[in-house]
Amino acid sequence: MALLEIKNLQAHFHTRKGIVKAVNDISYSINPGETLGIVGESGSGKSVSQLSYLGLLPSPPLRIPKGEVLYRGENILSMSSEKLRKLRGNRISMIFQEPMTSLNPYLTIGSQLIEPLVIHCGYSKKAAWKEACGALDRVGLPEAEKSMKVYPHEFSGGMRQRVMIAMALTTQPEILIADEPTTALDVTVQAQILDLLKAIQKETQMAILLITHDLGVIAGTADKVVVMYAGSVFEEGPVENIFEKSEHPYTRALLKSTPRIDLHQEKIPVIGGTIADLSQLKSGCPFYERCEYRKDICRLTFPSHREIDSAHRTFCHVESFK
Amino acid sequence: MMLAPVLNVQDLKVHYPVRNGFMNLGKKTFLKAVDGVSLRLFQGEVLGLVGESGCGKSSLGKALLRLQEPTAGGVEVCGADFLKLKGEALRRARPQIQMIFQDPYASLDPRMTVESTLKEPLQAHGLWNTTADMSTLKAVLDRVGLSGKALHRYPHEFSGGQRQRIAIARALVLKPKIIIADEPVSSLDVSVQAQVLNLLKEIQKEMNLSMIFISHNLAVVKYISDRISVMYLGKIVETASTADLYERAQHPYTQALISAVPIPNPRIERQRKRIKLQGELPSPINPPKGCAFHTRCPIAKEHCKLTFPELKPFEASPQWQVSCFEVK
Repeated sequence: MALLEIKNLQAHFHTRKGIVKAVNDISYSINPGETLGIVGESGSGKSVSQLSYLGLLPSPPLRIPKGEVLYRGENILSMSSEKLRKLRGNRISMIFQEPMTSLNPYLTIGSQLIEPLVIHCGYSKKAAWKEACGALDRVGLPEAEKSMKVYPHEFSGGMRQRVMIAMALTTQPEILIADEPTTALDVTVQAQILDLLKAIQKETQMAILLITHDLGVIAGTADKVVVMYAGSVFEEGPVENIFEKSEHPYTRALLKSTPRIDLHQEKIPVIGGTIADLSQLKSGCPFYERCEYRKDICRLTFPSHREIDSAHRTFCHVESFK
Repeated sequence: MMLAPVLNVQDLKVHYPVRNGFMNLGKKTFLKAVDGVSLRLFQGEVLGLVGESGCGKSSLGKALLRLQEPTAGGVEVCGADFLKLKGEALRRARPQIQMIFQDPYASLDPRMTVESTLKEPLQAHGLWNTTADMSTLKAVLDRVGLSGKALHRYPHEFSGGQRQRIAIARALVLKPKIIIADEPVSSLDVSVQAQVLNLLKEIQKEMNLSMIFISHNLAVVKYISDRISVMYLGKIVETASTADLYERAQHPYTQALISAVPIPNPRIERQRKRIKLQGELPSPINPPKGCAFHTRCPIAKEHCKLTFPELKPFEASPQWQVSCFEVK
């Protein structure tokens, strides 16, 4: 049994302008000790798919018409809000892109760090303080005791993200959902944070769900990759397969259109057009307009999955990219 | 013989005064965003300017256009001293040097149609109805890949990539010689980013423009630049041709920066040796003495903490300059 399994999940926003179909029938799973990379451009549904089942989006406008999200076999979507609250922040933790907006500027680092321990793990304040100091130490913040007493604005972006990681890890979660954790950071600091996450994972066997638009970050950290586009999963497979033998025209085009420091690129091939409007999705493949391999059938029906091998699945009618 | 540069920057400084709080009245401190930068840009050349956030690359870009008045130093645009110009003379010189900003959601006025957005710079410089008319606007829109229908629409009707095309059109409409592009593709998605990058590259070649391309993304800078300058805490630490910089960078900071850029290939990415930097960028209000990089440098020696290494030519090449004592 997978640690977390998402089955045919849909997430729609009911707005005055119509229904925005942000997530459409997606399925994937993650096991302990594994890093699953979810890659996609803005509006692909990579964040919403996570936030929706964790109850972190206002409903309405959010509606989940269909789907199951199984945590150790139990459906999160049918849990009571009390039970979900215990799961979230305890067994499943999240870190976000911009650490300054996820930290409360009025509270010291320490008081924010002990909160989950007191709420979720029943620590006394004193014990929580000690535990939190240890957590700061583990994420490589110097002088943990002193850091507990400062306010978020006194830290740099990288240090704040370390605090966020420390906070997410205090309850020893089984799953860490990291939503663009290094996008706001400089590359040298990004490398430090990714190394830190890998080291912690090795030690605790926690599963990491890494949401990012950066293919380089995925290549360096993920074991499995899910490629999303306009609310749908387009391809899923082991990281080597996705980067070297992708079987989806979007993945292939995305890889080709990425500027790289290790290649000489005279002209980058581009993907024409723009991302489909999520409130105007039709029954066919949402990439149809931009796809260079499109066939008539692609306009009419969204492809069901095709297995390349036991771990590699693609959602595309096209079977040859000659 | 070497041609004269279209842009010649000498020892440029941009210092922002910092308020100290009432206990320190009278004692002025400065944030030295740009602290003695010299560079030259030649006709038809793209100079990439890279560095991490807070290194002063955007302040430098703004100072070149006098959107931020430099504290000291010299800027020559096509041989004329740009910093001495005033009033009418300055206004007449401005069309030569134009800027493209990072965020086309913020840089376009939401209440102006594309037509008035493109017309405004021409009117301000008295060129509308003399040397430019509607056909000029249509031609420039066509060049950036938008149809003439766009003229009557507002920015919110366009996607991010299309908005950046409008911003590029606005910069081109005055037929500048120099373009300063400050992170022009950073807010765009990968698939759209490539479209805009290619467009900029084509236009630059076609019009033989000189461009300073500011970005934190080393892969993007590599694709578009002929030469690259690397900035750290307000100073240029290395300048080299693009090929030299990515194949054998000399400054330890450049080396670390390049080695930290993830490569989208799992086999290569997982086997690369990474130069790990400890800590983060020190505060530019109180930068370290000597070489500003010594606090994070893996090869710093005692003398690096005391004296500042001037930029020196490397391998007697006029193109390649490094600011490091340990590079021989």
